Amino acid sequence: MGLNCRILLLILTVLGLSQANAAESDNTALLVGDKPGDLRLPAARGYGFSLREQLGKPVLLIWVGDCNIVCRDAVPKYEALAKRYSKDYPSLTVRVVRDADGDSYPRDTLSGMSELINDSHLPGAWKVSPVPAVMLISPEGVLDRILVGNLNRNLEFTDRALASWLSSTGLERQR
Amino acid sequence: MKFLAAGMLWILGMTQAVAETQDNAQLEIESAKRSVIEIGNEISEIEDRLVSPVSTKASLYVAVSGGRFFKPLTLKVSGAGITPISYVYTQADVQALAFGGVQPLPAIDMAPGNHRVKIVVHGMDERQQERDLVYEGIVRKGETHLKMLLSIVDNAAQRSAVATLRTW
Repeated sequence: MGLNCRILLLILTVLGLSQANAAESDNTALLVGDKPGDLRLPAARGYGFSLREQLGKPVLLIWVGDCNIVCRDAVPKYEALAKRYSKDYPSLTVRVVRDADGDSYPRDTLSGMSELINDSHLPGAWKVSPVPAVMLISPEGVLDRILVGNLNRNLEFTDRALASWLSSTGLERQR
Repeated sequence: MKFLAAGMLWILGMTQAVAETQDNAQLEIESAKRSVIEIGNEISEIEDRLVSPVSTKASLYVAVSGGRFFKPLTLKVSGAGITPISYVYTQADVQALAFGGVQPLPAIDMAPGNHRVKIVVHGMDERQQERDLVYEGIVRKGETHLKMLLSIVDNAAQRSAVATLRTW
């Protein structure tokens, strides 16, 4: 094979590698249909969470940022919603994701749901903006839906989205 | 009849020529694919040598012995001249460690010389109370690949665990 051809292949390979690296490092723009990399975060209590370990289960992530008064009012309503759907779909995994305040982690809890701390210093953290946001991630690990905005206003949309989404995942209802 | 036979022979010849051309093209494609793989490997090796030469390469492994009195939740490695490392443990990770697994952490870049290393393992004790195990000490990095094993070992007498670091 000619030298020019080898050089061209080399350039193409290098370009491909650098593009792949750029795609890996840029998780700022998560879009519906994406299969994002692992989300690996510490929990407010107990063991950490890895999204990759949830493959095969539908995942509902509720990103609340630093959670203001409106958010604190809304989170228990999402807990009730999650409980209702978990009866039909026990494999539904639900996590509330809160921001770390600098180096310190929140000590209180917002509800009975498991909470994760999105510490931006950690390699497995995601940059999600804007928050609050509700994400539905399919059992295949694909980001299927994102609902952005006031959690109280989005509660009904989330309810409807969960109903149609869970029935479309192919999981069997338990009752 | 003669023309028909000649025509048939010509068509056969053409078919063979086309088949040979296709075979040649296939061989060239295979050769190109092999070249791409070889170049990819060469680039990967060069990248490895440039990004992490042996003289600055260090690896940290974690092992748990017992695991009754301490379960890791997060681990942080820091120190002057060291790329900080953080790791979040899931229940599956902790179970794997308890079964005797040795966990490799991402490679560390470390210049030759003495380095003060601090490793903080945040975890839970047997009463589910959060606590930290801290290792702090000086490690010597030579010109060869430095390997470090952080062992979290149960201390039954004190109903706690200790973290020790072995290097080679």
